[in-house]
Amino acid sequence: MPGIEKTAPRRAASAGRSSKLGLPGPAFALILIAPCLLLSVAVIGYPIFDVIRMSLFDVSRTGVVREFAGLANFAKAFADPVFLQAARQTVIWTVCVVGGTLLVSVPIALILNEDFYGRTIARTIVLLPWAISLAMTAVVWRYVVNGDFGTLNMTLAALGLPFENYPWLADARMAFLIEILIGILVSVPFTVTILLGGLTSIPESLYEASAIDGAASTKSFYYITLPLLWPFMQIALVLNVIYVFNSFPIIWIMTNGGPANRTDILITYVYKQAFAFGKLGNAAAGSMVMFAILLVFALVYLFLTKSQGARNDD
Amino acid sequence: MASINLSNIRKQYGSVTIIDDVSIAIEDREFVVLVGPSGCGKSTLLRMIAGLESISAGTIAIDGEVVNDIGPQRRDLAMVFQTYALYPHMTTAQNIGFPLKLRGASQDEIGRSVAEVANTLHLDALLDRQPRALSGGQRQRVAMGRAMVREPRAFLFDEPLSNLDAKLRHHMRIELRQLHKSLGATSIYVTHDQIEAMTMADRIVVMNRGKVEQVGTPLELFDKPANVFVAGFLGSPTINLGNATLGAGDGSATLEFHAGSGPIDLANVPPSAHKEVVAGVRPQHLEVVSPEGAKLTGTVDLVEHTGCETNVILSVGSEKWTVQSRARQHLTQGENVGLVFDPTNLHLFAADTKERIRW
Amino acid sequence: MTKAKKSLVCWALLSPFLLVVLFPYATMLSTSLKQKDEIFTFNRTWLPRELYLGNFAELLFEKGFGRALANSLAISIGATVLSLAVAIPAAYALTRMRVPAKGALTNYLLITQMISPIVLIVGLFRMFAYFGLVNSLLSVIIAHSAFFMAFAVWMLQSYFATIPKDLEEAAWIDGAGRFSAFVRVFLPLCLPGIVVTAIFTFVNSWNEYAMSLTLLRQVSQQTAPVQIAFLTGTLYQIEWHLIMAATLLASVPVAIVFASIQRYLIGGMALGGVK
Ligand SMILES: Nc1ncnc2c1ncn2[C@@H]1O[C@H](COP(=O)(O)OP(=O)(O)OP(=O)(O)O)[C@@H](O)[C@H]1O
Ligand SMILES: [Mg+2]
Repeated sequence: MPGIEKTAPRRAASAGRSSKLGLPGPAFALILIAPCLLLSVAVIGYPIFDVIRMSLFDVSRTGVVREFAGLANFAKAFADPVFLQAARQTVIWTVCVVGGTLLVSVPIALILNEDFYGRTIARTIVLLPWAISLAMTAVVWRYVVNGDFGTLNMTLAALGLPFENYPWLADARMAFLIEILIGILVSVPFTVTILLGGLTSIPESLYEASAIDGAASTKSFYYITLPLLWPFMQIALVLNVIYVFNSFPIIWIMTNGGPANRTDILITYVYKQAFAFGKLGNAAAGSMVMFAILLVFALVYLFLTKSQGARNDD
Repeated sequence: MASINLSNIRKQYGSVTIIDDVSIAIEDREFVVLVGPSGCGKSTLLRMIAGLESISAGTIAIDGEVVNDIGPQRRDLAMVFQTYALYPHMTTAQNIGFPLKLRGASQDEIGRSVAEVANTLHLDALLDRQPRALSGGQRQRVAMGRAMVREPRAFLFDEPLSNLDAKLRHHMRIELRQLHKSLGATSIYVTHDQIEAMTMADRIVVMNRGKVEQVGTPLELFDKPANVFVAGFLGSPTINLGNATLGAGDGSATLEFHAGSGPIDLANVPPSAHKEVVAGVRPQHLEVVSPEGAKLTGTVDLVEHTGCETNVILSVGSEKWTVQSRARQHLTQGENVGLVFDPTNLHLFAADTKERIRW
Repeated sequence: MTKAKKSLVCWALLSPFLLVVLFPYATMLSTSLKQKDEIFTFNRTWLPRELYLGNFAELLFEKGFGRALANSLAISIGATVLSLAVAIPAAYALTRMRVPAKGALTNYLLITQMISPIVLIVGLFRMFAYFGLVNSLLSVIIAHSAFFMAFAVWMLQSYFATIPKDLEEAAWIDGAGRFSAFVRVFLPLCLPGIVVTAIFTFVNSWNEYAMSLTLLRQVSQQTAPVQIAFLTGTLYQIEWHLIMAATLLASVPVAIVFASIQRYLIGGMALGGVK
C-alpha cells in the first residue's frame, strides 16, 4: 500500500482520445446476433427466393427449374376456376373468422378483467385452445361432428332433437361454417390475451376519476375503456388476419378442401397443387400471391405498432 | 489505497458535452465529496472513474498509472450504487463474498472475510437472508460490505444514502465517516445533499453543468465561496444575495444595496473604485434590529419556528431574504425591520463574472 | 353488487364459450375410455361402460404411438434448445449493446415472425430435399427453430430489459469479466423469463403440423399431431377410441404446462404487442 504520494500521471499514448475500457464494441454485438440472423436468413430467406424463382420459371413435376416463363404461372393460376374460388373463399374465411373472433373476444376479455371468484380458472379454460395443436383440435372436432358416431349428435339426440345421424360435414356450406366456428374458437385465446393485456394497462384511477366526475359505468365504458382498448383491438385484428389467412390444419384435416373444392382456401389450394398434383409453378405463383398479401399486412402491423410506440413515447 | 488523478477529463454524447475539462487530484486516504445539482454530471464522472463509462478526452490515473483503457474489472475499485445493486439471487453472505469468489479465494478465506466484514457492519444475523428480505438500511450495509471485503484501491459511492429516511441517513453518515477513519480508504462520494457533503468530506468538489466550480475543505467553501454558485449551493437556509454597488468611503469601502439602503461602511475592505457587485450574507450572520437609523431595511413576510432556531423571511426590495437566529423573534407580518451584519461575514462577487472579489 | 353475485353473472355469461371449449375435452375423455363396440352402436352415452384403459395400452404398444410421441419430444426439445441458443445472445445484444441498424433488425425479426411457414412450404421442402434432410428430424428441428426464434428473441428482450443494468455493472466492478457477469449474475436473474420462453417455444413446436407433415414423409418419423391426423385418413372404419386416446395423451400434458405460464403471457403479450 503506497503512502501519500502524488506521482504525476504517466504521459500516456491514450491521452486526448477516447478510451476503450476493453468493452466489446458493435462488432461483438453483431457476432452475438449473427447465428440468429443466419438461421433466419437461410431457412426463411432462401425459400422465399426459391419460391419467387419457381413462380417465374417453368418448373417440371420433379422440380427442375427450366426456362424463364415470365408471368405465365400467375396467368395460369388466375385462369384456374378453382384458384379463383379458393381466393373468394379465403376472403370469406378470413373476414368471418377474424370478425367473429373479435366479436367474441371483446366481451370475454371484459368479463375476465373483472374481479370475480374463480377468475384464474376461467382464464385458464378460455386460453386452453391455444395450448393444443390445431391439428388435434381439428381431429377431435371432426369426430365431435361426425354424423354417425359423433358426440354432438349423441348429445342433441339425448336432448330430444332430431339430429340422430345428421352429417354435418357432408354439406359444403355447413362444413365451411363449422370450420369458421372452430377457427374462431382457436383464435379467441390469443386475442383475449392481447386485449386483457390492454385492459390491465388501463389504470384503475382513471375509472375512479370518471366515477367521481359522475360518469355512469356505461359512459365510462364508451369514453375510457373503448378508446384505450382500441389500439389493442387494431393489433389483434391485424395479427389475426395474418394468422387466419394462412391457417392450414383445420380445413386440411376436417374436409381437405372438399366437398368439390367448396371449402378450399388459397393455402390448401397451394398445398394440393404442390404435393398432390406436382404443379410446382402453379403452387409457387399461388404462394407468391399469398406472400405479397401477408407482407402488406405485416407492414400495416409495423406501421400500427410504430405509430403507437411513438404516441407512447410522447 | 491509492491516489487518483483526473486531468482534463471530458465526456461527450454526440455533440453534447456532459463533463467539460475536469481536473481533480485526489490524495491517498482522502475522502472527497462530489456535490452539485441534479444532472450536473456527478454520476457520469464517478462512472468514468469506475470504468463503466468511456472517456472522450483526458486521462484518469490511479496511483500514477493511466487506466483510461482498463476495464472496470481490473481497476480494483469498489463502488456502492444508489440502488445498492445487490444480487437478488444471492444471500447477504454470498453478496459480500462474491468479489472474493471471483478472485478464486478458498471457501475458508471467503467465510472468514465475510464474517469479519459482517461483524464490523452488524450484519451477522442477516447473513442467510436474500436482499428482498432486508430493510433499506440493511441493504445499504450489505452493499458497503461487498465493497469493503476485498480492500480495494478506492471506494466510489454514488448517493448511497439517498434512499434512506432522514434519521437513518444521519446515522449512516456517522457510521460511514467512522468506517473511513478506521479503514483509511481513499473515497469518492457523490451526493447532492450539502449536509452530507459538509459533514463527511475532507475536501468537497462542487460541480455545475459538467464543470468544477470549486475544490476545498468544507469550511473553506463555506467561508470563502469562489463564486455565486458555490455560495448559493452550500449553506442552509440559502445565502442572501443582493445586487449592490461598491464605492469608496474614507479609509474603507462602502456598499449600497440596489434594493434601497444607505451606504454601509465596510471597515475591513480597502476603498475601491466604483463597482457593481453581488453581495451575499448568510442568514446566520444577519440580525434583526429596529428600523430606525438602519442602513438596510426589509418587511417581514413570514416567521418560521423550527424549535431551536427561528427563520424570518423578509422582502428586501424585490429579493427574498432569510434571517436565522437562536433567539425567538416576535415579529408580525408586514412589520418593517432593520438588518445589520458584521462586514467580515460579507461575501462580495463581481456582478459580471460572478467570481469572488478578494481583498 | 356483491362479489358473489358478480361472480355468478360472470360465470353465467362465460358459460356458453367455456362449454364449447370443454366439449372436445369431454369427448376425448369419454371416448378414449370406451371400448370399440361402445362407439359404433346406436345407444351411445357419455359415460363409458367402465374405466377401460386398454385403448392407451393398444395405442402405445401395438400402434407405435409411443414412437410418435418420442419423435415429437425429440423435435420439440431440439427446437427449443436451438432457438434459445441463438435467441439468448441475440436478445442480450439487442437489449444491452449498441447494435448497428438495430431498428431494421427488429423489424426484420418481427416480419419473419408473421410469415407463416406454410406459405413457403414448397421452397422449404426443396431446400431440405437439396441437403438430403427430408425425412430427418433435424430438418424439422431447424425449420421450427428458424420460425419460432424471432418470437423467442422478442419475448426474451422484454424480460432482459427488466433486469437493472447496474447489477451487471456491480459485478464488473467486483471483478467479473463480461462473460462471467453474464453467467453468474444476468442469467440466473432472467431464468424465469428464459423458462417461460422455452415452454412457449416447446409448446409451439410440439403442436406444429404443416412443416412436420411435409418434411417427414415416413410413418416412423411422424410427430404426434401428424400421426393423429394420419390415423383419421384410413379407408377402413376410423378407430376413434384410439384416436381420442392419442389426442388426450398428446395434448393434456402440454396443456398443463401451458396453463402454468398463462399469467406471464398476458402481461408479456401486451407489452410487446403494442410496444
Ligand atoms: N447516455 C446518455 N446520453 C446523453 N446524455 C446523457 C446520457 N447519460 C446521461 N446523460 C446526461 O448527462 C448529464 C449528467 O448526468 P448524471 O447522471 O451524471 O447527473 P448527476 O449529476 O448524477 O445527477 P443526479 O444528481 O440527478 O443523479 C445529464 O444531463 C444527463 O441527461
Ligand atoms: Mg446521479
